[in-house]
Amino acid sequence: MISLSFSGCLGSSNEELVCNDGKDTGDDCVLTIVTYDINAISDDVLNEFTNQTGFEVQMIRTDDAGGILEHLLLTKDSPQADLALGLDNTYLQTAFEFNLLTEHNAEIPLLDSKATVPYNGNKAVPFDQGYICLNADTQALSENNISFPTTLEELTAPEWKGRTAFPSPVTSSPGRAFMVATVDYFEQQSTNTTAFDWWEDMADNDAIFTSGWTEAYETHYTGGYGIWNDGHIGDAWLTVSYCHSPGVEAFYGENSTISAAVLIDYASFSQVEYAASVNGGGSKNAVNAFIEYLLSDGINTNMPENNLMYSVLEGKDLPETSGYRHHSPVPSQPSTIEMDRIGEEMDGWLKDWRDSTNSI
Amino acid sequence: MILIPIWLAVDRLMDVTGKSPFTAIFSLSEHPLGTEAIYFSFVQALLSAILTLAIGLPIAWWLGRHQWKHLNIIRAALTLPFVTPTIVAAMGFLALIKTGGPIESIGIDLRFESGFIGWLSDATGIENSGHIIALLMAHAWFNLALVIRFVEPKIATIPPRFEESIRLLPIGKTRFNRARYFWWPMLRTSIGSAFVFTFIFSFTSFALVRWLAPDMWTLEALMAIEGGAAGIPNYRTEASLLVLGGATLQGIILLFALGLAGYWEQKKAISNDIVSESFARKTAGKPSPIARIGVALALSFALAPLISMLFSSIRIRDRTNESYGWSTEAWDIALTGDLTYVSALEALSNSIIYALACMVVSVLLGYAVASSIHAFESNGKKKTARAIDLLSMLPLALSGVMIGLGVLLGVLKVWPELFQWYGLPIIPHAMLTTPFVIRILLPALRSLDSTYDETAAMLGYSQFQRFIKVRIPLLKNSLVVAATLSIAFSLGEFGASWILLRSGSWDTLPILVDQLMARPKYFELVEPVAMATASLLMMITFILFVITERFREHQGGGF
Repeated sequence: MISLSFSGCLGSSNEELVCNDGKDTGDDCVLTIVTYDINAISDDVLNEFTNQTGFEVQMIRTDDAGGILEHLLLTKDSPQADLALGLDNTYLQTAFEFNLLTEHNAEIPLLDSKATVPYNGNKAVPFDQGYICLNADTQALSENNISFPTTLEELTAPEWKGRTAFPSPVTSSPGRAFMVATVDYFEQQSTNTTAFDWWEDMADNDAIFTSGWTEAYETHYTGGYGIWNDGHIGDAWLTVSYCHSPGVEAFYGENSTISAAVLIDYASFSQVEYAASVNGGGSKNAVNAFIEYLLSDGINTNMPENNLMYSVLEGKDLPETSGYRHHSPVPSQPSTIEMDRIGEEMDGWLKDWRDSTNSI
Repeated sequence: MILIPIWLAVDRLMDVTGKSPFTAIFSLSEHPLGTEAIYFSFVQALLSAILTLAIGLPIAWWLGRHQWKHLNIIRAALTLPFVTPTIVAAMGFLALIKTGGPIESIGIDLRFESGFIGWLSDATGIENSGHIIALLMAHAWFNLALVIRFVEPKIATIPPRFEESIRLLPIGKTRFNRARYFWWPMLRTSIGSAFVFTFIFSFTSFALVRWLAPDMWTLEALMAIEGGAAGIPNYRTEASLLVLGGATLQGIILLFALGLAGYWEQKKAISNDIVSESFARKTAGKPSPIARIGVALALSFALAPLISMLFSSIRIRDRTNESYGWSTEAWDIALTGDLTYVSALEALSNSIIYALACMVVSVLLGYAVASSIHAFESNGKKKTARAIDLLSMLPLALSGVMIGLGVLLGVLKVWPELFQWYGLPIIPHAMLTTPFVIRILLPALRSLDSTYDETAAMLGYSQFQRFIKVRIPLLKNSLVVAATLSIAFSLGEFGASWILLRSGSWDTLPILVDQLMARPKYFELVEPVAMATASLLMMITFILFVITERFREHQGGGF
């Protein structure tokens, strides 16, 4: 399928690879991708793309999805990238509102229906997905006689004092996704408590707020691989990560993990990451070719191993190997907040969150 | 070249926020962590400077007062931390204070804050006291060289007859009195300069705060984290406001500190009456056992984080029995780049290219500025010389993060295409290193004996020939020191490169280390690979430093 899609790029009378189909010249033979440190896009993957299509790839790497959006905003008047890779559904609406993205013409295979729920147009294409939710250290809870949480309200109790770590929604995309989920969670309750009342209670309960996922999960959380790392502090029994993070722990840990996903209705968020053509960027053929390559069976099926995320292709799941799938429960009722509302209200939510937690 | 990007960035931030830099300072308190960051920056910088003096002064005293075998090696080892890239220092300290590490094994648990440190936290009510202690230790480690470089040569070159005379007077009978009425007046300018520079470097600390005290914020760290969203119209204006106000306040504080250091330097120049080091040392004799133990402890302190880091690069977690084993696998992966977009060798090659280019730019620019100042001084235009001298010090008041943001927001405004230029990091690196080059070359130019030049002119040498055949050979040592320090600083530069990485792809060794450390480490070799990469950076810096030391002239103190 890939070779047919790329026929315009591959065909040549003397069997040499040609990056263009007669329309692209010069710089258009180079595809510039703005992304973060995505594991799946390894040197081998990029070299294979270049071998197949003739397009050279240049990478502009920011630190996370927020960094991608900020790069696009900073260079809006003179875009430096052709393809944005890694914006998720908490950032995508803002990118639309600032008119940062444009339509692509790539041929898209059949995608998993969950991946197309947040957005199903052709200004952005899902390439991986996963659920953000709380993760808890079952061993620490058991040793301290604390019951596994079933509501968010429980976490404001004294036994959780100083034992939870949250990445900031201002500077971390998992943190942002979880904050959106908490908004929905409290809107679904029949009480007057808002999400930001809860965040304030959590701050009063000495919750730890970090600038990124790494600091929360690796430095503070006691249930993950961080315990083996230099710099581990280990003061939090619960943190925000993916619902399949315990599965990843088991996958790398000989089918053993003490971490478990906390599945609370509406308190998880279906995160989808997108590839999108940059408005004003060049190399449209290269953009289309890369999107098709990224969604090809050979690349996308391996997302769970290579990028620690679910594939977006229909019918694909996590591998059974070493308990990866077994330890990765799927929430039955994730947050239902839609992308356009996220775009509209995000600034206000972030302000409320900062006011509630007095944190970054 | 140095100030234009900053001016453009300030202009952009003023456009976005609608506020002047000075009114933006007053908005800092509106940021949830603004006031805390200002307070913490001040307090930790002050404590770091005090701790550095407390550790450094006895070492400087012992080194300056006695005859030591292998003095140059001891000096080099104690100065190595200062030229160690901060990201390497951070990795070294993480390795040192980790569970099962050397510090924890003697009962000081700075990471989990249990035992004595936990008791200290409870007793003082200070949260994260273990992390703060680790940060202060790291700052003291990093800046120890400043105290030794500023104070030790001064002690070693004070004429022994001065002390002999004071001992004969009633006022000099006790040690305390001699310290108060003799040593303090003789050394206070050097101690003051060391204190101020330690304060400045600790105030603008970023990599060490980021990794050693992850829940604490300095202004520099806060600006670095929030800086990505700065300068964008109608998007998170509070981030632009924080950067504008924070950078202005930090600039004012650093400028004030530099002014103070400059004032002391001037006073020092007036009171400088020296004898040769070897003469003073011979008079003082061989080191006492206490001095030997003290210097040995200082050497252990200087080298321990680096050795710990090296060990961490070969100590690998074994998942089959949840223990550790020894292997060079991480080094293989670091060198082949199997875990990263670029291998450590490719990043090293980038780093070296940037460092060499930075060296060329900063030495040429630094020489031009230093010789202009010297020319004005020689022609009796002291005020003009002083004005240029002060202006050339201004970039020292700009931290790495401030310069990175300046280039990001300033250059992007007028020349966005520059962000696809491979050589972009040379700009911030040269901005950071040129002031140091000026500070090294200016004293060397001042000490040149003009008769050589005049004689060459009489012999019919042209100005260019005199420059090549007289001036360059006479300045050789200072030029080599300036060039290698410029390369070393560029190799280890972290803050500015980290900011620029948000909008480009310039993989230098320090950035590669940070990328690896910030990545999920389910795979057990990720962290050892980061440690191996940091160790490689340390080794390169060490080699450069040894080269620098061969050419350094030890007289009178300072860099």
